[in-house]
Amino acid sequence: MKNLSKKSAPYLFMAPYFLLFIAFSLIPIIFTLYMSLNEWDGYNGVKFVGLANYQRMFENGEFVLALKNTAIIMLMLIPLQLIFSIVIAYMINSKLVRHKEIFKTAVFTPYLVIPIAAGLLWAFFFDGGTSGTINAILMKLHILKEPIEYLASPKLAKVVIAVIMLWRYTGYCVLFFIAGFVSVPEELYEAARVDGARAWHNFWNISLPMIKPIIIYMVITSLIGGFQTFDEPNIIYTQGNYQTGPYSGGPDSTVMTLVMLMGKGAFQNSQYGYGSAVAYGMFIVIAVFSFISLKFMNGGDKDGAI
Amino acid sequence: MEQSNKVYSFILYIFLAVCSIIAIGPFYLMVIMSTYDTNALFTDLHLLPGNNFMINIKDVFLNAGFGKFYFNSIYIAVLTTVLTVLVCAMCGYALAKFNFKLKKTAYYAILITMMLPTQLGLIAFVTEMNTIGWTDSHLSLIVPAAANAFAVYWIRQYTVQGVPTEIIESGRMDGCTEGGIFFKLVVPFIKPALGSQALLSFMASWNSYLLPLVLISDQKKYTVTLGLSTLDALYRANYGARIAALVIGTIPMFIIFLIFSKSLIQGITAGSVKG
Repeated sequence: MKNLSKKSAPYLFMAPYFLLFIAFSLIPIIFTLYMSLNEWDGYNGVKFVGLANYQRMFENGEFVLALKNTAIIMLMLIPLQLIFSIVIAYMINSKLVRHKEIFKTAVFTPYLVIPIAAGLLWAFFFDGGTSGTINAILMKLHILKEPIEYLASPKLAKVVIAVIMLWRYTGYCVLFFIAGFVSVPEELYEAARVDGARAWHNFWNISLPMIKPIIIYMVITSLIGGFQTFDEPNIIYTQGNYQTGPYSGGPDSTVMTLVMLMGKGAFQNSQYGYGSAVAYGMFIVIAVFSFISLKFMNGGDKDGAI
Repeated sequence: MEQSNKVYSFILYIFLAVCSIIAIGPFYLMVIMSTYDTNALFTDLHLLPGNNFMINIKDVFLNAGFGKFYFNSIYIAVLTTVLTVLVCAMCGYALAKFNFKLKKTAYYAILITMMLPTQLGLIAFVTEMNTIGWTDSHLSLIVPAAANAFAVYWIRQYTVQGVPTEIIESGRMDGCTEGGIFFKLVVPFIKPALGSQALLSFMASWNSYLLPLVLISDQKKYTVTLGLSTLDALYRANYGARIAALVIGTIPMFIIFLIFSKSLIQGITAGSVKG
């Protein structure tokens, strides 16, 4: 350290990061691309197959199925998550609400639960028998006569995943929107009158446009994160009453996601080339969706968050 | 006027209270359920704590070796956190306070990395770990995670705004080494950012599931998440113990939040508000 001159110092400071980055991120990313063009079972020789893996993943319908599953879950999740978190944040930020910290902490609590623990907990709640918590409550209230088999139904299973994620991530989004609303300059609001109608007007015409960059940021990060969903859907069907095995995605593969398909290819079926092709397919999907939402939501102005 | 204000604030409180209950409810039920035995869990819905908690806890730790998983997860998370903060703080500092040839290139590399899906290189990464003999070793969960582009990005932001360049210059005048300047003069200024990053890294490591799933198969080396993912095999039909395991797995996060909530929230929202 003694002979460290000002010139070489920045390189030495950056060296650990970039050595680790190159060794454990960059090389695997490039090598995955190479593997996606080959066939390899993990032991025997590598065989170049060109784009055959990509072709196969579209022809057997698996990639489109995983993409569709994820998209349906995201379509249920993201709009609700945005609306709820914006409204909750706006209300917590209101002058009429004291005890802000209490509400903030309360809605954030679900985020502290490990994702797979959240999955297992809700699998227990959504258990199909009469003792499943949700069935029990609905039957006690006489809303249901017969218990519902949520996790055995391909349609409802998707809803369950969306519910779990809505529960776990809404409070997380609230933090961002509170930070956004706090940073809106006070002068922008007219007068001090905060009756209901005025509050609504302020919300719609002042606050919401001001936090647009954060909304865009949240949509994009939700999409990027959403297309990589794995923990919750995988754990629910890995064990318990409805298990169909790891990387299986439940009944009719209804919650098979892209990451799950990648894992199934590589780690379950030892088709490393095929799994790698799925990884790059996922990358392209995420890139396209991020680009579209950035363009679409940014409209004319160029002062987006990213 | 007064009247409508009161009505409005009443509606606000009701709405927020309902949202809070929906958020906390399942969490509360999880804690309550961990205090009952399996039979009681399946016969009725309980809203008040039972008296089986200690027995469930004992089952979790004694019968299934959860203590070992717990120890593994804690030390993996701590080492990952320390290494990440050290590596990324140095890199962020270099990008914030030095002028050098490759600065722009390095910075863009960080920005691009942040936008890549984290799972993109996973398959080749696992193959790589196999090749260098790091599968079934905790090294594969600790060392690679230290290169965190997001951490570099926002520690750099923080350093640009929060560390006066004069401090660094005066350090050089006084004959400090470059390393000494960073550790003795710069670090105290960026401590809040490092603290927030430490919490995020700890949380990410603690929650990590896919990586240990594909890298660790020796049960002695399991993390808490792997333990939770094999509850079926570990506890059979002992649902009281299963739920207790979920509670125990969540407790560290909860404690961290109670102590460091401000710092954690600052870290979580760091990237967005001032992008």
